[in-house]
Amino acid sequence: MNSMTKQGGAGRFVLDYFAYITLFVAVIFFSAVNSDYLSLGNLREILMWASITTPIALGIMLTLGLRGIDMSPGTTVGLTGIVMALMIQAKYGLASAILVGCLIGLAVGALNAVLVARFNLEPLIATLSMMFIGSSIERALTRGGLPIYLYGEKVGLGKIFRTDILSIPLPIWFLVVLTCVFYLVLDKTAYGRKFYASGASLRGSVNAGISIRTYIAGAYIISGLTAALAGVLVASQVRSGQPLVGQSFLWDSIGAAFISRFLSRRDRPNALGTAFGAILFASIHVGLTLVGVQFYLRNFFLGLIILIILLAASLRSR
Amino acid sequence: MLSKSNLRMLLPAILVIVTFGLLYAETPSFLSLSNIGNVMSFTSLIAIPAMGLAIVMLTGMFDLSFVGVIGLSSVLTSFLLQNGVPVWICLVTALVLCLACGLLNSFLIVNMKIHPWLTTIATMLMLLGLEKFISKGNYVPAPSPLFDAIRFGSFLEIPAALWIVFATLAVVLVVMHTTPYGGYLYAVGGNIEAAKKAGLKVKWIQYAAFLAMGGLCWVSSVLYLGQLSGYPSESAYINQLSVILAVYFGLAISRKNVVNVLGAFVGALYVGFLANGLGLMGVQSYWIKMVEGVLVIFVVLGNSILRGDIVTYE
Repeated sequence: MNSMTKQGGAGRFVLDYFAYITLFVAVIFFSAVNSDYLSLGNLREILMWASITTPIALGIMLTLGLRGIDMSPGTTVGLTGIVMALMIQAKYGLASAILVGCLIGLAVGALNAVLVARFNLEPLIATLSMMFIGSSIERALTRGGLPIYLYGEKVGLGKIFRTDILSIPLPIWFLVVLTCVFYLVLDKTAYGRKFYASGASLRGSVNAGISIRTYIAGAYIISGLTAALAGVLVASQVRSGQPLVGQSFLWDSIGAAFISRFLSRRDRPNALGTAFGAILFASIHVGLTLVGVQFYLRNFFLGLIILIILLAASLRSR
Repeated sequence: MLSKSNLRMLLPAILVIVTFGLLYAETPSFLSLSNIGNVMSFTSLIAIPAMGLAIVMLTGMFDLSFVGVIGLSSVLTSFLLQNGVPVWICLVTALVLCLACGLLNSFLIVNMKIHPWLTTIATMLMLLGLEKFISKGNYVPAPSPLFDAIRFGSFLEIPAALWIVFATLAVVLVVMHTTPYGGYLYAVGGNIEAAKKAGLKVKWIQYAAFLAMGGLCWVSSVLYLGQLSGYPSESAYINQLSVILAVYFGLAISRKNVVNVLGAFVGALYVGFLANGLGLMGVQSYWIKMVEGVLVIFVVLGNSILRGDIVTYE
């Protein structure tokens, strides 16, 4: 790795600053096509979208860091929103709805944790199955997939997404605070050091006496919880329970979690990089909408960008 | 006495007995001859990709993108057909597309050393995006006498679709068991390092596995177009978990505890009976998906518990 960095060259530069270059290119491209892209309102739009994907991406980042993956957050987002909407419809308070939403996230995370950390299931298989199970429950709770609208119910649900503190929206505060918490815990505490050590060498950490199963279990449980928090934000944004809404956030978040490696000198997933990645993917998402790329093609571009990131990561680690 | 390997076989046995028992008790028409025809038509959609996935998993890799390959191939075929392109050109184009997807996946995984999960998640997204771009999320009809023949034709009282499935199974089994290639596949899956030391060209074998997957995806897309006279948006994606369940069911019934093609086929039969039986009982399609999800976890978990290898971690 060291000798590679010394070689220098344009290719090396591109690979080392890949994440920044991608953002730069995206911003230049979208603002060239549509001058509205660089407006303040659009920046707000981007950050609001990122405030939903960042928590999900942070959770996925933890699982990626321990050589796993979590495919279930998308369904957790939808499930949380639906259950919250159902509870509010049944005249429960907002606080209890949020609490139950978070408990759902914890439950999904705990199930994943048991399957992966206790029983060594392949993380992809375990969480993919959870994803399908979750979306079945979503459809069962909504009579086959009909959104639950909350007509005229005087609730504060919509306010969470629309409150400003010091003229900055609450979700953006949430994004900042959550990222800082993840950063501080991962980079400044013993827990974080052990987490990174486990990710670097599972066997070595076991020998060093780190209870690696606890860390793996923790990653999936936290991933479930952060997905539920994102679900609360989404439910507040759309003021309803939308089945199967979470899938579009999932792919953005996986991409964001993965690109975080480019912002780390040690080539490992990390909190600040994940938040940056979420903002990058949000810029691309909002840009594609603004440019008017057909809804159906969006997944294609998303896949293409993720693929390019993966390729760059592979070239860099050579 | 029950040895460990015999004990392990209890799992699929129990699964089959419980499933068939329950379904038969609820709806006795379940095991009638005419219904078995229905079962087979769904099974044929699951079986072919399941065999492909089994081959890919044999070499220690994984593929999620097959649902996108099948989807894009089917939609492209129908699109070309609707624009008056002769059916054989459509089929050849689709085959080239499927093989190219296999090549792309294997290049990324084998040469660029990107993790199979991440690679195939990305390619799956791309392919599903292209599929939706062409289909606009609608049902795309594929009007052609060939596909009508697959749907309605039969030979010796056996529907044409089934002949295709059995012919494919036979070809794959012959290649796997009478040519050296099958042995290479098992060798690579068993221990990559050992296979390399033994002088096997592991990379080429992995490439070949993904090309086989591409070819099987093409067969599968022809079956989708035949069975459904077209392609309902994302139907392969919806069946993704059924295919995975079929492969893991095959793992559970395997004596040597390895994924294998015949097992995947039997697994697809099981999944076909399960989905059909639940459907006859009036269970909603999303509950069937839920049952399948639970069964995947149950089968994988049960298999590794009974095998007794749950303690190690590396």
